[in-house]
Amino acid sequence: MERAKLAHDKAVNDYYSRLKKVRKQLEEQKDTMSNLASIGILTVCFGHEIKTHSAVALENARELLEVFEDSRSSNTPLNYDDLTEITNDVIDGTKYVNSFSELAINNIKPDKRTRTKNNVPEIFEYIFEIMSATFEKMGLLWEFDFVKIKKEDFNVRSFRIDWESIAINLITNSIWALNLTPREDRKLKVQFERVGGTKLRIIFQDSGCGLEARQEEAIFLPMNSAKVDRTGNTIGTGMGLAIIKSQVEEHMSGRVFAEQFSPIGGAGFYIEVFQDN
Amino acid sequence: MTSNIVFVDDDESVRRTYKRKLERIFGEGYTIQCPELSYTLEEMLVVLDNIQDKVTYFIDEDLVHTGTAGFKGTELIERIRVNEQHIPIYIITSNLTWVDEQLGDIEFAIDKNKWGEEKDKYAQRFLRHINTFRTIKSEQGKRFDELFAKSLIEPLTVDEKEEYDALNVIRSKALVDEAIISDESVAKLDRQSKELEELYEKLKALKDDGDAG
Repeated sequence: MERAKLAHDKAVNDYYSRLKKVRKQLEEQKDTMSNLASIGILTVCFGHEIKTHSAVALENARELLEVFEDSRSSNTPLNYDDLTEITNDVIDGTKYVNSFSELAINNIKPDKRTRTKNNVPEIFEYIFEIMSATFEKMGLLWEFDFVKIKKEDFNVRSFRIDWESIAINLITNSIWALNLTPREDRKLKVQFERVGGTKLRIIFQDSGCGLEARQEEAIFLPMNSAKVDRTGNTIGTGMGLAIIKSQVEEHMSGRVFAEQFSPIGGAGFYIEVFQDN
Repeated sequence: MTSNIVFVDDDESVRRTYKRKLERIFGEGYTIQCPELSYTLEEMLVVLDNIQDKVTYFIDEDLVHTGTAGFKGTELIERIRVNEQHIPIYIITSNLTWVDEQLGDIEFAIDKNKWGEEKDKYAQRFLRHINTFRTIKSEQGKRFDELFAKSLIEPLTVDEKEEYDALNVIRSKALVDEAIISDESVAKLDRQSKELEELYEKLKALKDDGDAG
């Protein structure tokens, strides 16, 4: 009887430990899926730009070949200024594509999927740096601001990949919202502030078209996209903000909300999380 | 004199790239014009209107990315078509799924990434469209001259006046034609003159009555 009881306890313990393992695996899978969804959103958003820049690189590479061929067949000297300009366009186009591929590949590294102490402003800086060529092309000016906290103290226990994905999603939305804002009025501002105690807040604002009235909550629902083209067709995936919400609430016990118009004109997104000392 | 091919894109490096490409495709006899973009459609139409002897447009769909224009390629094409009904217009894009390839206002849509692979076939089609456009233009020019000559001798019929007005708009420089009147205008003038005459007779009769009284 005693032996049977021990065997039963062992079976139950084994079952629970297997269940724990499976649960951990499922959680990891869920996180990976959410990361992959972020990469998907990134691809959808920048696919257009990647194609434009790869087309520029490709066309200029073809042009180089034609210039060489012309010179060889008609024995005309090469114009080195033209060659430099064409080659620079090949390099710029390729660099552009390269920086996006780098981001996509780095995003799936396992060390980004381990919960650890992350300096959030440093992650935002990294993503903004990758996006700098796009911002420059768009004439978009951006600034980071710190209120009642130093950059090095804005640390949150979290997955690095979550913050990268959050930054990418918010930037993607802003780029769309800024579409019809004249070049000289395009602005992005990220404010890192201490609300009080260990409560921290990130305010992400742009000078775009803002949110539609009374959509401040609905935009966080899955499959809800406000991004439409001029004929009214939905062009967004409707998943970006839903993913941010689950990352902030489920992974960091924080909260996220939006406002229709921020002080710099467009939408404002607020993320509240807790400091990791 | 060379004919102008107009390439519209908001990105400077794209303009530089495709200017070279189009120069190679069209060769002598054509100049590739890549105007800077204006923010409003109206301002942009003025810029385009100032380019003479246009024979083709290449227009990118996404003109808002750099923030120098506040309109899409298809919106610009819609407006160009109002006055230039026969000129070949191609929409270029890096994503064909973003444009309506069957759009009535364009010849066809071109994927930037595929253009290079089929450049000779594209070139054939571009040149054929330009030839058709030139034939239409010269026929329209001949018809315009006929109507203009007739208008100097006799009034045009209502239909002829309408045709004349439409052809005049298409001309690169519209002829100031306040003097050209149609049958209908002549009839209207006759009516007005008759009414004035009747009025005069009535006033005269009233005056005579007054004098007699």
